[in-house]
Amino acid sequence: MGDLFRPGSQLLKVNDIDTYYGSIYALKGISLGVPEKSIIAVLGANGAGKTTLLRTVSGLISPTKGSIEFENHRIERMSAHRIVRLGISHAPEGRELFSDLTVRENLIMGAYVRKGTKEIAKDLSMIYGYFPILGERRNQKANTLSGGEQQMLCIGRGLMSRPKLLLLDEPSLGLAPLIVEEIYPIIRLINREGTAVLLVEQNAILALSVASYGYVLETGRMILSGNGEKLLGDEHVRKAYLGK
Amino acid sequence: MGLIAEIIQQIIFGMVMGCIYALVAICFVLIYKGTDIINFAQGELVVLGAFIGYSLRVTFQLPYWLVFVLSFILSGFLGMVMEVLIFRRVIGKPHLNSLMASIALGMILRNAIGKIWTFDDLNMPPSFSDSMLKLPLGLVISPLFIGIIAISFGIMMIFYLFLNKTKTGISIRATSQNMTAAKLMGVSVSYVSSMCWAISAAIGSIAGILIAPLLVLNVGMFIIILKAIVAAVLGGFGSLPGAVLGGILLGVIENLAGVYFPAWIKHVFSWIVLLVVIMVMPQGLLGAKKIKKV
Repeated sequence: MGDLFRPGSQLLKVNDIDTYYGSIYALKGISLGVPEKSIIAVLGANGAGKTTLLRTVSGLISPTKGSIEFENHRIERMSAHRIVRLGISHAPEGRELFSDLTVRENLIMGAYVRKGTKEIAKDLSMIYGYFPILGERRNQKANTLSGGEQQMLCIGRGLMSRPKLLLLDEPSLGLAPLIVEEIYPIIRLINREGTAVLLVEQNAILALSVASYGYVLETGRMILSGNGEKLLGDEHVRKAYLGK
Repeated sequence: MGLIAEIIQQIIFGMVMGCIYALVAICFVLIYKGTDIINFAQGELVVLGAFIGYSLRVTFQLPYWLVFVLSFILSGFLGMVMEVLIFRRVIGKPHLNSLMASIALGMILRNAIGKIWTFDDLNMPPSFSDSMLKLPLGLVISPLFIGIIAISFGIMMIFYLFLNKTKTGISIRATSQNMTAAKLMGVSVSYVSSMCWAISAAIGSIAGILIAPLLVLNVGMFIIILKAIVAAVLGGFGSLPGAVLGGILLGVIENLAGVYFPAWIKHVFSWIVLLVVIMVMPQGLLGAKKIKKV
């Protein structure tokens, strides 16, 4: 993993972490870095540990070994609610929306750690700008939305805390290609406006269409890392994840 | 007294008891919603509050408004202590753990209350005058009845505003819907848990102080938890408005039953209601069908 410590400041540094998911040894010695304002992809099959990795970074799980640094803070022992305040937002697998709250209320919950009602209202408009359909459905309960709309709401809610780093878990999962095509440009836009993204995706081509660099996990281990060209050109990756 | 008047009179009695059932049911459901814990010690918290109120009033001779305020604060504090010491460690564990823990806590509290005060009956001075005022149609009502209903509704309204307009209230609601998401929004689950316990103990104490003059102040009053559970189930378990509706409805129909049926049926009535609800309408009056997690 020689290309781990690239120049440019590292917003997030994961150093050699082990994580257990219940009794399963889910992450084995994982290290990675997310530079400021970048999009970094984490690829791999189901069960590779991608979701566990994000959950460890966001504080839902603690690693048993290793460290995680975010902007000079050591966060591996911090609880999730404190990590959010540092500037990491996690849009989780399965979306985890507040089903009985409206679109608008979900978004406002996303800004829970912030003060300043005017600023929050401005950000609400910004999210409706990214995802107009959310604006249309702002007073509808979250569990009445379609899958694609729920995914948009999940991402929008994650942005409401104005994070420096957004952890995005499988945004394309279960969605029709047309919807995915609506969501991915927004991911690019979010990133252009300054938010770093750590993107977990099973769909390697999709992920590498926006990410500048990627890590490939297989049964809890990092087996490969590199830029898009290198990963897509790799024989193992092609066979395992691109079906070629 | 004519039949209409008798019915109205029983509805009045029913409203009074119903308000108390509603308050205790709210406390019980609040802890369940906020922490997913079934608090079988809720009745003992009500009794503890009543005894604290008794001491503040009888031993320290404080004016009643101060009794309410101090009891609220003291009980709230004790509720928080119980959460920190015991129930925080049980969050997220199987329901059986919290059930056992709260039952055990209840027994310990009952014994502690009996040792600190007494296991005998005490006469709780009423917070408002309990002499009956005569109304038309031969009806009677006491200032105590009016006070209980008024304070209960006052508490319910403040509680509603708290849940919907304050940050803490909103974080409790969010946690009850999706704990993982709440954590990711920056909500401290420990804080939510403490607040739920503090509020439940505090409101419980007011309910105890209000009703003790009408029942008898005794450790055995903890049994009110059973009525509160029936109320919560009737209204839709897990629903706070349901707890209010269930409580008041239970109080009213319990007393109305006494008009038409022999007097002994009142004691069994709430259990009949519970069975009927579980068999016919298990989600209760306001209980939602399972909300699909998204």
